[in-house]
Amino acid sequence: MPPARQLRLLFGISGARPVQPGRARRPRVVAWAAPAVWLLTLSCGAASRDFVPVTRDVRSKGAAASVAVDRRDYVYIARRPHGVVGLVGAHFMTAEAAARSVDRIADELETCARRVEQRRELAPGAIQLVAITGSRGMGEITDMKIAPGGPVAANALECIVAPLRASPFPAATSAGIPALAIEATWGRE
Amino acid sequence: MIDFELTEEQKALIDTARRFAKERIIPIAAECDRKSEFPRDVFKAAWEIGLANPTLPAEYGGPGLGDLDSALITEELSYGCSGIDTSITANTLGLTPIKLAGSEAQKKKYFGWLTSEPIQVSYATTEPGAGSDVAGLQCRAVKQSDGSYVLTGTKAWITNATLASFFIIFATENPELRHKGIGAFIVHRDAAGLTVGKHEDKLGQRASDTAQVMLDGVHVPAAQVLAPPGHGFKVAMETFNQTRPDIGAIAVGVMRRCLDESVAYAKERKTFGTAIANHQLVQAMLAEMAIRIHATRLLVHKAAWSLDKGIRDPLTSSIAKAYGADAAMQSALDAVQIFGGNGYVKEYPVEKLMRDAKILQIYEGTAQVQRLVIAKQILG
Repeated sequence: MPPARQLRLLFGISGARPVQPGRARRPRVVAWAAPAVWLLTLSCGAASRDFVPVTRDVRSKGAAASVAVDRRDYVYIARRPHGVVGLVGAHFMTAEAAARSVDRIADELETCARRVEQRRELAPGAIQLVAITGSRGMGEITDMKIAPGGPVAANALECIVAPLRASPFPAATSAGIPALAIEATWGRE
Repeated sequence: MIDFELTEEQKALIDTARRFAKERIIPIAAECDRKSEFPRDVFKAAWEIGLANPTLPAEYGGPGLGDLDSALITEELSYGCSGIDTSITANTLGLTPIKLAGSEAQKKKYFGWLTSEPIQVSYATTEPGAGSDVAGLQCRAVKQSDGSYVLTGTKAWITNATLASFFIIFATENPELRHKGIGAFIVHRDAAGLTVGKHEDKLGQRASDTAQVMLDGVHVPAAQVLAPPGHGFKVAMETFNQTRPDIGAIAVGVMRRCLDESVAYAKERKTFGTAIANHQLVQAMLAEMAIRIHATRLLVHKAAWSLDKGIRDPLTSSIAKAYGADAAMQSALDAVQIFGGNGYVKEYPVEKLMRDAKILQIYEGTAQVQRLVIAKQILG
């Protein structure tokens, strides 16, 4: 099954028309604004550190059930041989900057997944997270859910979380703190 | 507001470290202890998945984790083997002075080195005649006209000495100045005049590497001066303040292992026609072990949380270290007691836990020094 299809099933997203790398279409603000803003607003606030909408919680919902209750599109998808990263939404970032970030995350994921695969430690996995610009100008993760099982957490930390933390993010402005909501999957045939 | 809930990232860290301890550390711990040998491949594997150097800042390519995150990792790795963990965690001890006092160029160079290769670093204050009394160190630093220094002296009980690619060496321009004369220097392993002594044959934590470091006229370029004389003592003390919670976390890991092994054994072993777990005096020991785990963990998390928040709290750091070390020693003794004769032989794991626990009351400030630090904070 193609990775993008796996991703949509895993996170309960169907009907996406993923953009091929290098052929990014203009982000459709209206389509993603509601869920993304909802997710970002709640997650950027101090009160709800680990909030993730129930219907998108990969720990509590089976793939089939999620598909049934949650049909949504990605703004942008970056596909690589070992993984796929989907942009759920961005806040206080231009669409181009958000897409660039997703491409960078996908590149890092690909490099890392190859390395981990060589060590025979790559397990099919998935993650959804919200990252914001941290106090030192690097990515800082405020919300995260990792698919359960095997060494998925280790793969996620090494291939998604660590590179994100080491990536410069757009500077915060008086308008707000830039934030990015993504979902990714890797290691699937 | 008080919040004890871990983030998803912290839960993932625990999961990763626990899995690593189970798969990579526990299977070889007894053998490493017997051979008194640190498994470098384990360090490399820990480095690859981001369990080594956790607090190395993200802007220099490190994991960029906080002190609480570091304590969570340390607890899990120590559950596997506190000796192996000590050599892994010693990197945090070594990189912290650079974080605290390093120039931008030093941070780029040495943090870059630590993130690009699975190298180890040693922190060296202790000397044959100066352990807890850091201000009494004798290793000399003589300033040269070009701003460089020449170091001469001996450092003792240095973790990772045999393995380190570079050292953070504390030396004084004049021993009579006590803490006012101490500086900190970055010394490369291949520096002329630096030799590493024999590997120490220790009682416990035998899988960690410990040796002397001899400095005979070692030239340190100005670019490798971390803190000039007069500024090093503060760096050393603040480093300890930041890394003491990790010692408490090691204690929690050791105690958890003691309890798990004891519970499993107590359910198996039968006396007077019933499992010893049914004897109330055994139950009391198990309960006390659980109490110590929870109490120490709360102290460690409070101390680490304060560090993450930028709140200076050396009192809690010292209490976490002092209480945790004593608690681990007592729990290890209790575990041996529960195992009875089987606890006294190497066939079972608890005698190693007892040997391993003892050093917690000695390194990074003895149990007695911690009490002095605590009393000083109380008395003002």
